Amino acid sequence: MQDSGTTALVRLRAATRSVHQQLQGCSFVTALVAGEASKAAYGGFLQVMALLHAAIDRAGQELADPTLREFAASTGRRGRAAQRDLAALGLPPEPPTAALRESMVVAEEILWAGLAEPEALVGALYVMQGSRQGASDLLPLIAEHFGDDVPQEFWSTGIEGRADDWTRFVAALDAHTLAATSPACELATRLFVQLGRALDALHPLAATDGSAAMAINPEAGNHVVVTEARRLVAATVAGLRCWRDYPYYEARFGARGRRYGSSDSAWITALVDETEQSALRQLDWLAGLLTSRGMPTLLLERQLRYLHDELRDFVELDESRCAVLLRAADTLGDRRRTHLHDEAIETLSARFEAAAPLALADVASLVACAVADECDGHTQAVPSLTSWLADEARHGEAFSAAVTQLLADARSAARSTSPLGVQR
Amino acid sequence: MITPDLYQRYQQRLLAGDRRACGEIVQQLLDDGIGLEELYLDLFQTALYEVGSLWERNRISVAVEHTATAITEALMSLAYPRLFQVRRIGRTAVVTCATGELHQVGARMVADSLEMRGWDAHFLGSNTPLPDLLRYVDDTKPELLAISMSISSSLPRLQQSIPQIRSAQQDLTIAIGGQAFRLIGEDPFADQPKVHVLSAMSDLLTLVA
Repeated sequence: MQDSGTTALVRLRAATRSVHQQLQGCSFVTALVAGEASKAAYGGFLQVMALLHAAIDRAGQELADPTLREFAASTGRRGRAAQRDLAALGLPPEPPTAALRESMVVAEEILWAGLAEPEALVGALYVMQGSRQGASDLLPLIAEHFGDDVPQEFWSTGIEGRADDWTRFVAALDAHTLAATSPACELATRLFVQLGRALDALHPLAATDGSAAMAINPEAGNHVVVTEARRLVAATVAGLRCWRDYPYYEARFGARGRRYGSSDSAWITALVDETEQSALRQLDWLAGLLTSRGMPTLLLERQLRYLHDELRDFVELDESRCAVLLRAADTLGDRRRTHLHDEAIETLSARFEAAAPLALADVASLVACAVADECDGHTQAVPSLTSWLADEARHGEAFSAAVTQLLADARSAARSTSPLGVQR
Repeated sequence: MITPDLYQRYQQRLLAGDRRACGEIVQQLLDDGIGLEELYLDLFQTALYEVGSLWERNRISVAVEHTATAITEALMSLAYPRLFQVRRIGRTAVVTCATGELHQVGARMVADSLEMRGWDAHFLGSNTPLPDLLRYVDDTKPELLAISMSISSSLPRLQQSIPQIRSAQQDLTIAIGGQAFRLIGEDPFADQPKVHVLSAMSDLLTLVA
C-alpha cells in the first residue's frame, strides 16, 4: 500500500513551499498588485510565460504517461495564447535580456529533462498547473490596471476548466511516488526560483543588458538569434538532442560548449528567414569553423536535421521555409560520402568499439568523419579532434593507441574511396 | 613597395603581437613614400584578412586576432600626418558599422580611404544605435553613408535599418560592404534605390569618383 506521505503532490508541495512563497513576493507581482507595473513589464511577463510554457510543451512530448502528456500540450496552448496576447499588445517577441537570461536557464533544464529524465517534468507541470489556480485573482488586477480591452487570452485559457483539470492532474500525480530529493522536486524548485528571478527583472524593468544572444550564452557576442518562444525552444532542443547523441560534446566541451550549442542553434534558426543562397553559404562557413575546433561536419549535419524536424513539427513552420536546413545537411553528408562511405564508417566504428569499449562510444564515427572532412579541405579537422582524443594523459595509453589505429584505418579507407586521396 | 618578404615579416610580427616591430616597418614604408592606398590595401587589409582566415581555421586564438586588429588600428594613425595634408574637396561622408556590429577596423579603413581623396569622413565606429545614427546624419548632411558589416548575422538588423534610414534621408547614397558579404552572396538590397552593396574598396571609390 502506498504511503500517502510520499505521493508526488505532497512531496512537490513540501519541496517548493518556500520558493513558491518567494515567487508570490517577487517585485513584479508586488507591482502588479499595487497597480505599478508598466505595460512593457507586463509584456515581458507574457514573453517569459510563452517561453516556459513552450518548453514544457516540447519537453512533455517525451512523457510516457498520456494524461501528463496532454497536460504538457495544454500548457503549450497557454503559451501560444500568451504569444497572441503579446502580438495584440503590439510588443515584440523578445523578452528583456535579463528576464530572457533567467528564463532560458530553466527552459533549457526543462528541455534537457524531457530528453534525459522525462519523469522530472512532473515537477514543471505541477508549477504551471498550480499557477492556473491563481489566475482568477490576477486577471481583475490586469484588467483594472491595463484596461478591460487588454488582451486576456492567456488568462482566460488558464481559468477555463482549471478546477476539473486540477482534480485530474492530482489523480495523475497520485500514480507517481517521489523521493524528497527527486528530479521532479528539483525541477519544480528550479522553475519557481528562475521564474522569480525573471519576474524580478521586470520591475523595475532592467535596462537592456547585452544582446539576446548573450542572454542565451554570455560569451556569444552580439549576433542575431531567434527570440520568438517556440522557435527558441525548437533551436534549443535541437542542440540538446545532438548533445544527447554525442557524449563527446559533454566530455570535451562541458557546460560552456552546451551554451554555445544553444546560441549557435538560435542563430542557425534565424537563417531560415534569409535567402537560400545566403543561408547555405553561412552554414558552409560554420561547418568549416566548427570542424577546425574539434567538431566534424557530422555533428552539424545531425543538428541541422534535428532543427529542421523541430521547426516543421513543433513550430509548424512551412516545409518550404525550413527545407534549406535539410539541403545544407544533405550537402554535408554528400561531401563526406565522396571521401568515405557510410558502410566504411560503420565498419570502422564496430572495429573501434570492440577494441576500446568505453563511454565515448560515439567517437569512432567522429574520427572517421574528420578524416573525410580533411579530404574535403578542412586541414584542421583531424588534429583538432585527435589532439584531445588521443591524449594519453587524459584517456590512457590503450585508448590513445586505439584512436591512433582508428585514424590510420580511416585514412586508409578514405584513400581507397576519395577521388582526392587523403591530404595530410 | 611591399615585397612578399616584407609582408611575411610584418605578418609574423603582427601575429606575435609585436607592436613596436610592426610600427617600425610601417614607419619605414611611410618614410620611403609608399602610397597610402597601397599601405592600407596591400599591407593592413591583406594581413587582417589572413588573420581572420587563421582564426576561422582555429590556427590562432580570438585573443591573437584582437591583438592584431588593435595593432593595425594603432598603426593606421601613423599615416594620419600625410592623410590630413590632403586638400579637402568639400564632400562629406558618414562611415559606420551595422547595428550590433563590433568589428570596426574595416569601416575605419573606408573612412581613411575617403579622407585620402579629400573627403571629410565622419567615422562613428562600431555598433552605433540607429536613432543616434539618424540624428548624426541629419546634423551632418553627408552625401554618402557607408556601412560596414563584418559578420553575416548582422544582416537582419541592417535589413531593418535601411528602410528607416531611407525614410529619414530620401536622397542619401548608401554604400554597404564588408567581409560578411562573402557569405551573403546575392545583393539583399537590390530592390532599394541608391543602396549599393560593394565587394571591394575600389568599388566604393569608383562609386564616389
